[in-house]
Amino acid sequence: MKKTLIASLMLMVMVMAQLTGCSSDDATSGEQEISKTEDSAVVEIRLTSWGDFTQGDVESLLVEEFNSTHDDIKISFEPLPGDSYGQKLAANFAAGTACDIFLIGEGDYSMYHGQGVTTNLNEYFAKSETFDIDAYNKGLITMATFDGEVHYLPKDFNPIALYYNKDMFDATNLEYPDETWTYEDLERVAKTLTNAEEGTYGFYADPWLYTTMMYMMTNGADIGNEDATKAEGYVNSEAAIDAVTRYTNYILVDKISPSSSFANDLGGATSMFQEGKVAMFISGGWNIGTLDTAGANYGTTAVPMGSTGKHSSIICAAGFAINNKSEHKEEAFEVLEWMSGPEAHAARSANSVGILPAFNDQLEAKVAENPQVAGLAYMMEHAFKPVRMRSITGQYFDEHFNKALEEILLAGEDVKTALDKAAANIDEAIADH
Amino acid sequence: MKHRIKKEEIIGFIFISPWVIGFFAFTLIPMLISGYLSFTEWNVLTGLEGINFVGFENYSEIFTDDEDFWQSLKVTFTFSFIFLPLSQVFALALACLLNQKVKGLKIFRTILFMPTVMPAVAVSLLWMWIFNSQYGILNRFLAIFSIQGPDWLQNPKTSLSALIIMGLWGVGSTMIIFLSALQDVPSSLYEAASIDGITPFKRFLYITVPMISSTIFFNLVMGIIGSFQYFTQAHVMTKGGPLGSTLFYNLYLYNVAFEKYEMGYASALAWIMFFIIVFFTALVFKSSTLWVYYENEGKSKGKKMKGEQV
Amino acid sequence: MTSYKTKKSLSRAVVYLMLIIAAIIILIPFIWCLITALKSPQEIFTDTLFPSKLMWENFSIALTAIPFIQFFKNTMTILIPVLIGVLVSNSLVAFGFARLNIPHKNFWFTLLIATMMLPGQVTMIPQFIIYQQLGWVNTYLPLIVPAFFGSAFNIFLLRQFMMGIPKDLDEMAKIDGAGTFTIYAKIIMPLVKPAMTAIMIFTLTGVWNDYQGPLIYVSDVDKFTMAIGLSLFKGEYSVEWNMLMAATIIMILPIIIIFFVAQRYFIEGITVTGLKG
Repeated sequence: MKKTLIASLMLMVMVMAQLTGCSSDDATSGEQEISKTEDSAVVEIRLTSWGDFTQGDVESLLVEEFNSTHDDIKISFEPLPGDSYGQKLAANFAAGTACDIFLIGEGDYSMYHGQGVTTNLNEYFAKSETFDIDAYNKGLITMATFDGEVHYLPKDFNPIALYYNKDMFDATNLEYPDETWTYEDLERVAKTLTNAEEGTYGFYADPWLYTTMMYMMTNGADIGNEDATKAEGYVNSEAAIDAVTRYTNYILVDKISPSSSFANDLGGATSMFQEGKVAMFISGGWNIGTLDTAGANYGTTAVPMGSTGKHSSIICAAGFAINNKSEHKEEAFEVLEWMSGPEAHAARSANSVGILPAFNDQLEAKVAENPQVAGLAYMMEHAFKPVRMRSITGQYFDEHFNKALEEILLAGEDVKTALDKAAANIDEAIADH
Repeated sequence: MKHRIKKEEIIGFIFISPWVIGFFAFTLIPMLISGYLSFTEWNVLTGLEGINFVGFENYSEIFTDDEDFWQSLKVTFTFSFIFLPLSQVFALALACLLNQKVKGLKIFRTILFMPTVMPAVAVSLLWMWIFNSQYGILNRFLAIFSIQGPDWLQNPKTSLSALIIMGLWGVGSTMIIFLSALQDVPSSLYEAASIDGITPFKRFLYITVPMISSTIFFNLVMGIIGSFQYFTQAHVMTKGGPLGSTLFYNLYLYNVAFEKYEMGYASALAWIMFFIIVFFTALVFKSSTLWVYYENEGKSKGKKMKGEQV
Repeated sequence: MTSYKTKKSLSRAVVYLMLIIAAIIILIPFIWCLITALKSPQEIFTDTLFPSKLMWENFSIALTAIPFIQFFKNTMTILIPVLIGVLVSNSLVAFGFARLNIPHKNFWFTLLIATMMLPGQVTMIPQFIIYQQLGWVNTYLPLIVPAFFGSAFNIFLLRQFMMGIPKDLDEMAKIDGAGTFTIYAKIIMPLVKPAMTAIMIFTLTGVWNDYQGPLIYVSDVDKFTMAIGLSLFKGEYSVEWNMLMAATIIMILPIIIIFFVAQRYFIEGITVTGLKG
């Protein structure tokens, strides 16, 4: 009895010793040096992103080119499938083994910055002789700036614009939408294009957070204040209630828009648009490739204006950041400059019509060659930072506003009640933070 | 005498030592760490230095101020209490069917097992497609009978039922385990019974069920552990919607851990679920003395000999 | 006499009918999967039930779109050691729990079951940190080594089956002078073949389809497994349904064939006709 107890204890101790003994000295740093002997060791910069990583894809080629032209720095590229990216990133951060450079979506810009895991790039801009921040589209840099510090450089982005089905417009002899359109124009035209019998709709009022917020903003409402610290009086203001009511009525009352369930069943907004079931919808640049391949006859233009008479848009983007704990920030910046630089953007943009380059001159050229992206480029100038991007408490706004929208659309909840509840919940979450 | 017993015990321990070593090396420490984390506030992005001890704060917040916690418990319990009995009965019924001597038995067994072979994510996507209310095969089939199928996954009233239907399609592994158990029942028992002229139903109830009761016990315990931790399908297909009708507990936990990155709060949630599962499993264990029969317990069915283990 | 015969053939017919109905119901999603795999992208969200042109090329596209061969090799690199580990370790431990005297056996057994009750999401990061300290990250070691130490599910299952074997068989062997290990190897193991086969098949399916495991521990793309490759068809913005269905069919075909062939180890059926004289 005693013997086995001691034996098992010894076993335990042995195992523990093994574990702790094995804990190596490279505990928290995120990189390993390849050659340890010489002083001019090759620095390995680990880079991670999500997306397509089959052979011959643009990112791998960019990495290869950098590696072949640099003797002192080597990029170790560690791409991942999109849906598990966050999970693996979390594990690596927790263990202190995060990559030197990582890609982040705009919705999380403020969260990662708020937790202190990104690096202020300003000093590296100054040191680099080749870097020119003004060559980038201003909107993209603004969204990556916090208190004057730039933390992200764009990899790719998607402005949001209005898509319209030219065939459906031609069939009813209606004029195409343009930048002068207001939502009143849209409503009028959508009613004409809606045909209940045939199951076609004039417009898809997507209850997606971004399209809803854009609608609100252009009608003078916002879901939170400038630094995302207060919801009461914003998400449930008169203007907000009014805007949300009118927007959800497109689906519920006016019936000029299908519901999101219907859209999902048809394979999503793009698929619905292709099939000619909806004449206009608001979405990002990612649709261009699919629509062009399908040979759809469409155009893009500015999203209509609301009561403010101004255009409001949100830019979806993904940007690279340097890990604050990286031990080789200088070298990492060289890599960053390359992966977000003019050659990189040109290469990505050449790959697909829908991918727009972040550099002003390149963007102009692209629009000239591809008129269908005109609307997207136009909207770049009118971007505002959605609440989630303003500070780390922004995430609570998204969460509860989404719930409110769901309740309004699926449970028939009254708009004011739902938004009041959201305001209360958001402010409570901020207080607890 | 005493010396001999000790040797036996050492041998016994050696046999289970692989698991014991593995437990101490790979399982115990993570469990202890997560237990500790449940008393901390930790956003994993901040790395190991960001761990803050906060005592019982997580637990009190969960019980007093977390709507999603109660919603997810409701969803998980509703699902489990319906799905568990249904799936066990269904699996056993199929196993019995497959235990007969019919032509093409191999093919039937393969077909009924096939759902288990598909990766969980692929199953989820395939069934999302099946449940599509416009073009999915289920509603098209119902349309033949002039029934308008509901919007399965997007209607809060039918979303759980949809997941249950999908789950029943995949009872293959439970079924195979039942089948193995049925195969182990000595045919001599059936022969002896048929001489006495027993009805098939009575034969099933008084011979088959007791003989496979140790396996029923296994499937029941694993069923509880599994259904309370249901996650992948909800994560891929509905993300907890619509209106939280499929917000399973583990999905909620996952969101807290990997979308909000709050590992401390998530650990607290995990340990609460741990104790819930322990509770229900213990109930089954305790009750098992009344109905689980092990061949080597001797003739007295259901009676436990003193000192005998469960 | 005749009524008994007709009764039997009637009951057999009923069984047959039920099996056919069950098989058809189970098969329908697979058929739908195949049909979708043969469609062109434009046909998927339309009213057309069957593809106008059977696009068998979708399968070859799926095979070449991702480095299937490399991923297959990687999956096998993990699978084979795991199968060996599972075969060896679980039966030993289960035998211990089922048959042998162990100090505080109930305690250890309860601990065994309890390890399955903690949601894995919260042990994932501590485990990752441990493996990182051991230097096992970006290798297959975290996926292979634990297999040699038994898993609770397999041990529990085998233990139940072993406890169903009459102890008299053990006694007789002991009288003949057999040691503990011989009893394990020559008496008990042959009698749990159906359960062992089931475990091997579950293990095969588990490793084959394991997505989370390799994803968390492996950083290099060329070390990715087939399960990760499959997820590539679930694109960033939309799902390529036809390709995804085609790739899924490619992935499940080998296992279905193996299961079909391995069935005789199930069918064997133990006739424990009582003790030999």
